[in-house]
Amino acid sequence: MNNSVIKVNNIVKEYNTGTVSVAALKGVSFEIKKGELIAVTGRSGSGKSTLMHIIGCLDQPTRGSYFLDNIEVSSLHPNKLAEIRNLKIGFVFQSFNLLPYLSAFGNVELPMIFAGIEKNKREKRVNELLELVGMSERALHKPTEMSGGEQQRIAVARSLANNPEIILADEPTGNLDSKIGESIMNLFMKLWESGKTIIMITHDPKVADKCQRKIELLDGEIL
Amino acid sequence: MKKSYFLKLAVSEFHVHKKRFNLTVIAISWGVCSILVLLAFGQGMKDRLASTLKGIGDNIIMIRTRRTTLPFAGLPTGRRIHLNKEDTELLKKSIPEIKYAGGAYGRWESNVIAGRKEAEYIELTGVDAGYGKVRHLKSESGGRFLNSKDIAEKRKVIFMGRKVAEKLFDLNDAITKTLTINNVPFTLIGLLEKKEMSANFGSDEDSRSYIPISTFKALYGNRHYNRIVISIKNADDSEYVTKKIRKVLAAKYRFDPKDNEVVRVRDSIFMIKKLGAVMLGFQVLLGFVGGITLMISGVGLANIMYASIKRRTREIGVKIAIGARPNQIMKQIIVESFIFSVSGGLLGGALAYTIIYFFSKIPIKNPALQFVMNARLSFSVWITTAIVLSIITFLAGYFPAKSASKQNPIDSLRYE
Ligand SMILES: Nc1ncnc2c1ncn2[C@@H]1O[C@H](COP(=O)(O)OP(=O)(O)O)[C@@H](O)[C@H]1O
Ligand SMILES: [Mg+2]
Repeated sequence: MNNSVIKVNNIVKEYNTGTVSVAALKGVSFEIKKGELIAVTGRSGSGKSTLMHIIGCLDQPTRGSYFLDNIEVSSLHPNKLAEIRNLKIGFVFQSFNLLPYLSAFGNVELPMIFAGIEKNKREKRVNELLELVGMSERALHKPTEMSGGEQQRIAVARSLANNPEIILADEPTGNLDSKIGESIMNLFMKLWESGKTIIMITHDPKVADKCQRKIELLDGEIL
Repeated sequence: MKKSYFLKLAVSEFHVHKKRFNLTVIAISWGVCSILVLLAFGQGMKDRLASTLKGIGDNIIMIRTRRTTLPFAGLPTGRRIHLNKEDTELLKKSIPEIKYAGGAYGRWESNVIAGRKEAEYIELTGVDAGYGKVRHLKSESGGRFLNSKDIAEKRKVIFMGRKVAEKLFDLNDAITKTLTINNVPFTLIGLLEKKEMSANFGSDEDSRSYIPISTFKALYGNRHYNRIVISIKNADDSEYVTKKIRKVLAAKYRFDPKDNEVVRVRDSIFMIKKLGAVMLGFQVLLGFVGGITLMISGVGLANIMYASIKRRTREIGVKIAIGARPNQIMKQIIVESFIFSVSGGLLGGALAYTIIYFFSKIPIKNPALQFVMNARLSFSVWITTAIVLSIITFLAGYFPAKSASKQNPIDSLRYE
């Protein structure tokens, strides 16, 4: 046993696009300990998102192994994977991925509904989270009525809904202007200080410098 | 997790996917409605046809005689042949396929009075009790057809068609009232029940009046039957029985069995067989048209469902990515398609009902049009079409959702 939450071993990911197969990850290995704040950097197309999706159990590697809390993920039942995505990992997408027909409140509430949490507890938690990301006033607004920064705050709040240990963020500030990006960053710092393990992809050196450790990718390999 | 949540989520999705929701419900209800209306008119026509056939009676053959038109064994043409009671006995005895044979007298009578009302003339028929049975002459409630006691006791009782009776009585209160025919008092014991449209087999039953054959003979002294009515056990024997009747009568009255003019046999069975074939063809056509309509609606529905797959796949991807279990996704799809089915089915049924209601309010005198405009909504057709269309809608939504909920969420999120 060791104390790493995440351990990836020689991970390879190949995409089959018709005749050619593209290797987005060409054998990546690293470990991440509980409570770390990690920046994943690298040029566009270097495989950062691919890696994050695998860590977030949104995708499976072609080869290699991934241990989450010392359990090999590829051996898990789809329902167990769903539970991990629901309870253990919070994922923040670059493109937010909010449901357009639900209000801010509804979007943040959704992971708790899938977790089977009862109504009054859900409501309390949603209100807390909206407060935390500074969006209490906008609870009833739909994503289409919000700016990019506001949508990303809702997405962050959603990722925190079931109080996950790990937060994964794929360029959370990439689509936002620098000032708003900074406020989102502060939010992540706050979360890290509260003890969460945070892995985020970023292009911004300033952001990367704030992190404890960098994982830099180049053409699917760790530099 | 509670079901009510899926309902809520499904409803909130309808709110946004208004267009898809509306289109789907409209498509289901339109499909249900058009098939329902189509088959309702078809069923109505079929019912009329069936009641027409029933109105004729049980495998009825009717015999009338005239003058001979062919010379036979040295006998001249133009001899009048008459039927009488012995002939019914003879036919029954010589042709075992016959179930019933009964004579009927007939004459026109005027001076028919009931209270202050008078009928100019009536067609009076004398028959026995069996005649009513084989011709399906039933009374409105409160009355009856002639029975064997009426015949045995030569009672002065009368059974009337509605068209005659309404000249003399208030139809709601006619049974047991009395009338006089040429000053002979009769009691009305039955009133022919209202039929959709009875076959005019010879003449209109609604315009006839029936009295016991014995009473008729006693009053008017007829020596000859106007006609003999025969009912046979098995419809398939009709041609054979018809031939045999000619042969038996030809032997007795000594005329050429090939003389088709002297004995006129009217075979309802032949007619029924023909109508039966028409009915079957009609039913096949209806089924075919209904099937095509159902198919077109089904294709339209599947199309609507498929048109929204891209968006739905992405949304399923989001839900899976934040931790929905595949069966939670499927539950919602099931709730959703249940709502589609119920609203589409109900709306379609209501629409069809309204259309047919308005058709039924159009007053139509023309009997041919009455035949066509007699729509009958069928509960089972309604349920069947609603279920078939619902299943199509369900499958068109279910399978894409199933595959979206099974694959890696990132593939669903990338779905174009
Ligand atoms: N679904 C896919 N199909 C084919 N190729 C893909 C797919 N996703 C990513 N790639 C390719 O894999 C490589 C890495 O992509 P990605 O992980 O998105 O990089 P990054 O996030 O660092 O920009 C790129 O060359 C990209 O074109
Ligand atoms: Mg990327």
